[in-house]
Amino acid sequence: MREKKCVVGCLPLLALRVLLRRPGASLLLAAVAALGVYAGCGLHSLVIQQQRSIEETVRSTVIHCTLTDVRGMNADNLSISTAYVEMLLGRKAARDPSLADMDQAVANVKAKVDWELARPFGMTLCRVLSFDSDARLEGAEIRLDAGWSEEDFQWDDMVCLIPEDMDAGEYVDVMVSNPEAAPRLKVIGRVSGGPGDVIYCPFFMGWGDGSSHAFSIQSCTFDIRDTARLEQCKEKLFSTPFFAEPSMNAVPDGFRVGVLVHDEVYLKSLEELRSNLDMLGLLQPLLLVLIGGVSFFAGFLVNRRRAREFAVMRCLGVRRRAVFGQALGEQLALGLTGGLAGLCAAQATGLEVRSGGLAFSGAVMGMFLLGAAVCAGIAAGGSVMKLMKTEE
Amino acid sequence: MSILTAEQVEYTYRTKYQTVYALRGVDCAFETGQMTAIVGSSGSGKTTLLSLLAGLDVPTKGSIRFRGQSTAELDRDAWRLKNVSVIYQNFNLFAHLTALENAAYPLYLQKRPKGQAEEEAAAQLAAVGIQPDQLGRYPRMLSGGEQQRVAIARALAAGSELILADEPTGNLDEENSQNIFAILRDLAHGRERCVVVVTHDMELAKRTDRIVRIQDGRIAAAGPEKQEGSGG
Repeated sequence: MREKKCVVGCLPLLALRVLLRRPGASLLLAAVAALGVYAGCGLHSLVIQQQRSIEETVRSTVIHCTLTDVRGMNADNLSISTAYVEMLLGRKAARDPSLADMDQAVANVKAKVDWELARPFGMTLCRVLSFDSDARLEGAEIRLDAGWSEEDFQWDDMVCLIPEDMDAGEYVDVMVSNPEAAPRLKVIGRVSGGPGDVIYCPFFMGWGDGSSHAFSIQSCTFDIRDTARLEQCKEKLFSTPFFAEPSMNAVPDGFRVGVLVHDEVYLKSLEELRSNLDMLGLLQPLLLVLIGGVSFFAGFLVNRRRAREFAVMRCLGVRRRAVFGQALGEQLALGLTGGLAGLCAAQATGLEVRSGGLAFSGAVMGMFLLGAAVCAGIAAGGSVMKLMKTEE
Repeated sequence: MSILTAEQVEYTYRTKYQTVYALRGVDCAFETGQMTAIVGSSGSGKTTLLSLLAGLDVPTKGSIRFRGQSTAELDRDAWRLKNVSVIYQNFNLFAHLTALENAAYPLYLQKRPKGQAEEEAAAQLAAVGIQPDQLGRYPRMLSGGEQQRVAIARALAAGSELILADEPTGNLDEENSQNIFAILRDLAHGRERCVVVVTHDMELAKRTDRIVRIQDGRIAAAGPEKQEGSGG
């Protein structure tokens, strides 16, 4: 039977067998590659995690704002016109183009006005935009009659909520302490577990007879609608002639109001996360250099011990480039095996492997191979005469 | 006829502190079917001469000629692969290859089929006294004498005309030294190879066909043992 001749000779197979017969050195090189790739994936995962944290922080954080006087001192007894709330709600847009998209900048506007009633005596009429405008309703249970919703409290309707235990029929006639009219409000629901002396009615409720009654807002809060565009939103707010950044040096002019933006914690968190991300960005090239250095050192140590073996090969007639090729090929095989093991380990432990992780692993392997090529070059380039001398 | 000649060979190299003149105008010739011993004290230049004869480097001045052609003009790697085998004092076997694989290595390099290469290598190993049950052993599992036999079998398997040995018996006991020397002499006389041996051992050198004595990088004396008349 004719034996098949190896096209490339038997040496590559022999080299592979030698790798297996030299488990210590082989494992060392493979482990360096595996650790490098695993560490690369780990670092990349940290970067991804940090980026997601930033996105999550931006997405989930709500920046609360409070209207105050221009010095930022008073937020509970503002006595400002409803026009400010209308502006925040975008209702003034038609009249003032600069406020056209104010409702794109702000959300969850909450405002309330309390009036002491002359009738029913001892009760307070509280005008609210939504039920969470008044802290007194926190923990209370609100039961609305069929067909009515909280949204009805933003518009002109002669309706009200009364305490559970209040003795009233279908309507309540109310009279403000300084009255011009006495509107009749339809009871559409009841509040249990809340204040027993407050009747809640819509914020923009008109008086039933068509007359208007100016009222002053006591407090108002709102949220920045888009945290990712926090600065633009603030800019938008402060570009109007009605809202200003509170300052102790500001002089009240009865026109401008202050807006306290509670973004300190958010900005600090964001800064910390970004600082971590920057740090990780610095660590990536450092890790590459470190892995390159370690793989070079490991390859150098392994190949230095084999210097005589390579010299014997040269002595037997193996060309320098073939020695280089074998040394590099061995490290390539071990590096790829180790790198693959590192990737599998990274995948198994839930690290980020796809796209960026693979790219970083590729860079790690590149550094490994660069170190391996240098080591192989040193191995192949040694003086055979010097290495083979046994005396002199 | 001389197969290998050294003509006015000089070899210098630089160390950190000085320039070393290892060989100064060496002239000598080596013939097939003859065993030549190169003797001399440590540092005299005999190993350097052997390395130049093996084509591991080229002389700084002068030339080494193989069948009339200067080794400086040859593709020395290919030339070594076909024509030269070097045997060393410390055997220089591949630690992670078996005795059979070590002996077959030059044949692998010549891209011979694996089975054929190993068959030939096994025959050469048998010729130098390696038992069949030792073929699968690694060098560390063999005695010094057995390792040197494997090294010689590797040289034989390569089919080289030139067999250069640097202190081949330096690490062996008396009995093994005698045996290895006998094998080398048989290569020269029985198989018509040109065998050159660097040795300290004058007793062994006296058993060669010719002795070349080197002193301070120069040929101090060359010729048949009987004519040289001095030892040490």
